[in-house]
Amino acid sequence: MILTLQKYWAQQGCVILQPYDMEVGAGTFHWATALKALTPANATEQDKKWRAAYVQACRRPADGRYGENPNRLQHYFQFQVLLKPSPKDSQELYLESLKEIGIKVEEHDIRFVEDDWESPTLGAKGLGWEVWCNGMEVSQFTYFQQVGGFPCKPVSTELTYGLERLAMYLQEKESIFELQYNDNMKYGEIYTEMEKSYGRFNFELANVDKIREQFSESEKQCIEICDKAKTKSDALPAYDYCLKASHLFNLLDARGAVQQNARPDYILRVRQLAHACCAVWLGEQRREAKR
Amino acid sequence: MSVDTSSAEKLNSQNVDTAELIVELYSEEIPWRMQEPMAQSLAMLLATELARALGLPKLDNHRLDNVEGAFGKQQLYSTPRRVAVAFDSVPKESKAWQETLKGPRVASPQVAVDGFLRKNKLGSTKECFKIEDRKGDYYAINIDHRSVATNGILGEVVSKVVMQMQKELKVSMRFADQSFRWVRPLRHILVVFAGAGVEGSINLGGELDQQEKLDFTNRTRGATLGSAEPFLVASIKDYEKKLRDNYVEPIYEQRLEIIKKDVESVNDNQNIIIEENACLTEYPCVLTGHFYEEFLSLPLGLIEAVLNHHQKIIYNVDYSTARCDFYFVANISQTTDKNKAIRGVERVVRARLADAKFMLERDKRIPIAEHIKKLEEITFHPKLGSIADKNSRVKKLIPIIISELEKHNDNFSISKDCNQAWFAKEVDQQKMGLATETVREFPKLQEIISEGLKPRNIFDVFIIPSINITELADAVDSLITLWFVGERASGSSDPFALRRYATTIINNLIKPRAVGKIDNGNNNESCVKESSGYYLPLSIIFDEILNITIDQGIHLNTNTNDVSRYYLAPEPIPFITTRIYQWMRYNYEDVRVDCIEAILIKPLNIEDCNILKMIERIKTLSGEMDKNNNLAEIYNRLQAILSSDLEEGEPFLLDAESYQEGKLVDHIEAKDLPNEKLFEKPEEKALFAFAKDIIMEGKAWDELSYQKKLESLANLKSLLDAFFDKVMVNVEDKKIRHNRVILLYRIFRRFGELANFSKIHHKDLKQQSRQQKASA
Repeated sequence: MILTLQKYWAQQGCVILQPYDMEVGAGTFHWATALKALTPANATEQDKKWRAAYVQACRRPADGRYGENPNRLQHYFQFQVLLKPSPKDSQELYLESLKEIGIKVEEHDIRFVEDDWESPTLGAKGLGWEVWCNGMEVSQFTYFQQVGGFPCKPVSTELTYGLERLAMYLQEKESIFELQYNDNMKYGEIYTEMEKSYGRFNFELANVDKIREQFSESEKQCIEICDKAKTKSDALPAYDYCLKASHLFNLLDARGAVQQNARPDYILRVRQLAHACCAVWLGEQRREAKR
Repeated sequence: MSVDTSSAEKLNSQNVDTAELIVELYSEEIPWRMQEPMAQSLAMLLATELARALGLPKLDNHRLDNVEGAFGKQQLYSTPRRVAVAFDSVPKESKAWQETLKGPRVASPQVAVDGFLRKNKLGSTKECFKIEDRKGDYYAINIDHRSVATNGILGEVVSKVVMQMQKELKVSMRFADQSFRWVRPLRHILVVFAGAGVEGSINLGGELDQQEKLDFTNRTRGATLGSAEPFLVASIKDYEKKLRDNYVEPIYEQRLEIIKKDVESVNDNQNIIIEENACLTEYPCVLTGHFYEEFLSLPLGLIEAVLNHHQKIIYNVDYSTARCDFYFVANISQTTDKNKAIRGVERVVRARLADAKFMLERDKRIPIAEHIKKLEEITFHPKLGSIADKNSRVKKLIPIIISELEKHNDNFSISKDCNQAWFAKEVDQQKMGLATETVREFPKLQEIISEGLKPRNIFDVFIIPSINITELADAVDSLITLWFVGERASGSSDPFALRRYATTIINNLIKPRAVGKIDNGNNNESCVKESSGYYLPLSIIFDEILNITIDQGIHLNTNTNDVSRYYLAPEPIPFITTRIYQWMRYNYEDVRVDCIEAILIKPLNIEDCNILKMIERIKTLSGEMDKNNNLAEIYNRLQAILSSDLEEGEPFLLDAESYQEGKLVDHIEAKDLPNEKLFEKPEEKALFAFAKDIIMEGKAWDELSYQKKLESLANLKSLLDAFFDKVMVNVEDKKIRHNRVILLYRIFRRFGELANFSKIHHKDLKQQSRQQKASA
């Protein structure tokens, strides 16, 4: 399935990238989407017309269920596509890709259900839909309007495929762990133990005080890099620390260590980091947030 | 939605040559709630602009029914991908017409006049004429318009309409490098007039590339997934037929019918899901599936949340056969093999229900104490702490409420088993659902899940079923603490559900009870309702909860953190009285609305917002006013004479409001009494003698019931009539005049004690209409 999607999107002019080597909550956080969706004033032609596709491993500590729930994972895979500027036939291109992986649109109920996507930590938002196949959400389809608090000019089309869900659908399985990974291995045989261990770490073992310290350290590091940035690509190392902070916040959250009234503050701090990185990327001034 | 009205007939009768106009805005999937409003706005703006361009009478573009019929039969279309409108008789050309353009006022500054002259290329005001209206003279000119061909102006009209719609969109987005905004990318604009396409375009803007344009077309497309090629549109009939041939039912109401036909015996509250589905599909096709008892053990609310809200599936549970049928409205063409889709949907439904079941079972395995412990981490409000903090306040408030209820209500008692520990447990368990995974996934199910997790025991039945003290205390805490950290409800916005809390308080303190039907004499049967309930001095309770909150170290928006009785707590009481108003209107249809207002607006001397007493008073007053109009007439007469000028230029304010505020202007002081010796006429002597209890202070008046007080005031009618007939108040002799005013004032002030009579309508409109009905 991944190979088919990669081949198809390569034919549409996408560079096929590899997963980013950081812990992220979604494919959107990869720099190839988050930063590349923004276009600096002095962008090169390639920058202005960026198309990329890649698989991204995602971690959402709070979603883990120790491998017990057949529908929930704390670690899973997304296939991500970014098309800039958004092509006029975005929807047709997407539907064609479903056909490629074996979902004939004539035989299934495919519908676009309004879903205005927003990532408060990334300061990103867009308008679009959840794409449903016979009532199951298989993709997120978004016209990116803003990242890091900066408007996307031009607007990009972002597609996110939930790979496990799609595979469950195609293989007619009712549990993620029953998915046939290849001819002789099941998904569960590869990932169940990992889900159990990470479940224990995320919910029970993670050292809250240490993670709080690491969060603050990452925050400092990110801002320091942004302050000393000389070129737009200095945003990349800074952005790494923004991603670290974001993941550490998710860990604290899963651990139940974020008091409800402290939540907005944490989210704001991560958003400020994303904003600072995007400001460097665009060569613009960063604005201080109102608390 | 299609109506023929007179102006179209007028056009036809004038033998104006007309033709059909179709305008379609075709885009990617429009959110369902926006489809119909957008089609309506297209119709309104198009008709308005067209009328303006053709010199037809001006239309009000804010109401759809005002434009209906302006251009013959009008049909709106809306689907997920298009909004469109068709008019069947638009004049092919306009007649030559004259427009009167109103300029600035004659008295306006010269700059304004010059601007008007310049704009209209006029040499001087001599070229204008003057028109007069209420505010004075205006300059005006007549502009002659030549006849224009509709075809020639349509392009501009449509493009203006689209730009106007763009401005009015509540949600809109940019696309690629365009600056044009639409709800989702706009793909084409179809404009067909008199069978042919109309030239025109809209500017999409653009920064990277050159300015982009979207040219109008006379072709459209069928369903996204069925038809490949766009097709030509020549007429309204042609438009509808070709769309239907290509799996699009363009009329929303028709799609609704298609779905309803296939969905049987479904409860009414699923109508919204049916409506939503009609907006999610261009050609609905109802697929049916079912599941058996495996998931029927789930609370119905959970099944509803999964199927209705998450999956937008219509369902029908039959517990007798342990079967749930569900209807999935698909977006597939009727001809294709539906099996794959049905199997797919069933699999998804099973997976979602299994997920919910898994979560619920997991929640059930966790000890209750753990759920309750987690409430410490869940915020009630950033300024008011966690749910656990809230619960600790509620637990302290409950014994206070019980003791107040016991003190003031003989009929109130509570089982010994419901002791403080029992209530503490109840309070925590009521909220424990909030800590569960199921409620995190389905936030609206807190009560259902909490209930499902509770252990059953013999004390679970309240001894007094009409009052749920836990719920009451919780609502008091929510309303009062939220109020004093500055949260408010206004208009349609009530983010913290303050109104619901106020209603909960009222509902717990008072219950209307139907005790039978009576004929009120005019063949008009009405339901007599008694209200039973309990008196709870709300301002005491409100003060207590404020003190409990302050003791928690929470900072409230008050001038002082030392709450003293009657100082702060009355603040939210007017808010509660407005809820009582709604409550009364809902529960007691027969009570006069003006009487509700007379008691509730500016509650007068009703101790501690005694809801029970307020409601009794409303009913008594309304009953008294239904008997005759004496009270209103006396009040109005007294008010008229007491407010009129006794001495030129000196206002004599004596309405209930100024009485309340202690503002007695002129010569009278509250303690002034009439001097019997100064009475001259028998009528005033008679009035004084009869109304002595009313006029003087004392037990004789104070100990009367509310009803008796109203009656004794009403009984003054004939004496007062005679008084006004024979006795002149405004006489030369100041002493005598003053004495008479005091006499009347002493009677008048009693009205202010009983109700705000300024709210009472002079004539009971309802009674009037009832009489009319009876005589008819």
